[in-house]
Amino acid sequence: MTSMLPPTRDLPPGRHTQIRAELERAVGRRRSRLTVPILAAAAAVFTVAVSVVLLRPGPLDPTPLVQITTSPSPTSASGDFGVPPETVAEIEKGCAEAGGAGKATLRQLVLEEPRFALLYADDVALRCEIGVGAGGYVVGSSKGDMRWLPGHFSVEEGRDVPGGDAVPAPKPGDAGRRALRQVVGRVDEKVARVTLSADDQVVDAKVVNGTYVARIYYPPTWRFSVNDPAPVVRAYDAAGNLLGSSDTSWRTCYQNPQTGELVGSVRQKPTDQCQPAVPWK
Amino acid sequence: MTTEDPDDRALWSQAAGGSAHAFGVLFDRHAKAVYNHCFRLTASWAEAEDHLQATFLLAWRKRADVRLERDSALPWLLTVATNVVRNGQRSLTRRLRNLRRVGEEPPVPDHADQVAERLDDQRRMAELLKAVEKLPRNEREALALCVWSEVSYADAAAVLGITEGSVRARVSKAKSKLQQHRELVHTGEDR
Repeated sequence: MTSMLPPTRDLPPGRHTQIRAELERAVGRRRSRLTVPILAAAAAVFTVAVSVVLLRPGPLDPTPLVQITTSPSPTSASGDFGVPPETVAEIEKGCAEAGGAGKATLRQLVLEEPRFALLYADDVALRCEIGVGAGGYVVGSSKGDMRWLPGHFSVEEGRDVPGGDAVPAPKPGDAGRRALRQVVGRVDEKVARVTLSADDQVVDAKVVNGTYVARIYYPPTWRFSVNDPAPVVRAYDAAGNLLGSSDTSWRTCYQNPQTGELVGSVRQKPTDQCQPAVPWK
Repeated sequence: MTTEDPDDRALWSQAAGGSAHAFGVLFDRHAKAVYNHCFRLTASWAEAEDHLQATFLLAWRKRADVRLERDSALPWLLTVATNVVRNGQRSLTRRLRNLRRVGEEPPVPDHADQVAERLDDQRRMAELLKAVEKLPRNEREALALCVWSEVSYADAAAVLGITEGSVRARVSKAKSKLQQHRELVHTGEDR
């Protein structure tokens, strides 16, 4: 009807089927849900592994067990990613190229599968999956002025990846791949601990180099539902005081004190109540 | 839709009785229109995917409370989608869910052109939305429903619960305020 309106488009390949399958599963699922923690364990000095089993009965949801695992680490920054420097350089180069960015600095490296790197430049955050795709790297990017934070922390990504045995048309190699919930972002220097709350569980994020990564793993048959409550990220200081929570922080807007531009806000216009953004490095 | 396909009212009746399959057929029939409607309200294809899913979930929950007065479920679905978008924009939940999609979509070979086109769509749509955001909400939403998504005034009136004249008035006011953006309000002929 108009030459200026963008053209009508189909859903991306596979998404129609995926969303329909998700809808049919959601509308067919019994809403009762028992959550029974059976196992929780174990910590070392720098690593804690927590495994929890949930029972989710339902006629169309035969998945009986959910394993949740996370590996929090100390809150101190570290340049030691557990790999040789040349590997770090290779990852920085590969991720930056795949993300169409210039030079970006590695801030977090997760070696547990799926391997993941979190990199930053002044104007972009790169969320880089390693060992996948034709070039070995698949990158999602968030553009913005990364020198500033909207408060004590940001949420750069909240992602749910269904299990390899749960997707309607699995690709070769998907079989047996665990489902994954992952949240990543940045923190300021006051933040000592970050938690991710989802599925009635609270797990610690790995906080390193001014960034955090939190993961929860699920069995390969697991699918996420839009009916599930959204995960919540909370940041605490060293004394355990809550500094911010993602389910409430959206109410506050932050402005770059130098330029007046909004930081970490998609649509809001600046208001009188906007607070100064927090420097990040 | 072939002549043998059940119409929306029959499918809706089956869905109201609990048929997930009938609801799936309705989704197949109207997903694209709802998806594009949500895009025009958000200027984001990723958000449009989430709002599409949320729209049909909300429609499922309301299935027992709604009786289709028209042949097509689309006008009502577009109205639900409009409300979903309006409410979703106030929530961080929306932002978290939007970002989830990055890792879920399977790699598509040689899709750089598609990505570039969609990014261009988003830039263009964001510019267009700037032009209409000064309109009162009811006029803006009537414009999106009747002009951009091409729902008839009669259908829009039925799902909005107002008279056809009121719908026409809203669209007319929107058009008059957007005279400098004629490409946004040109409808060809009134329906």
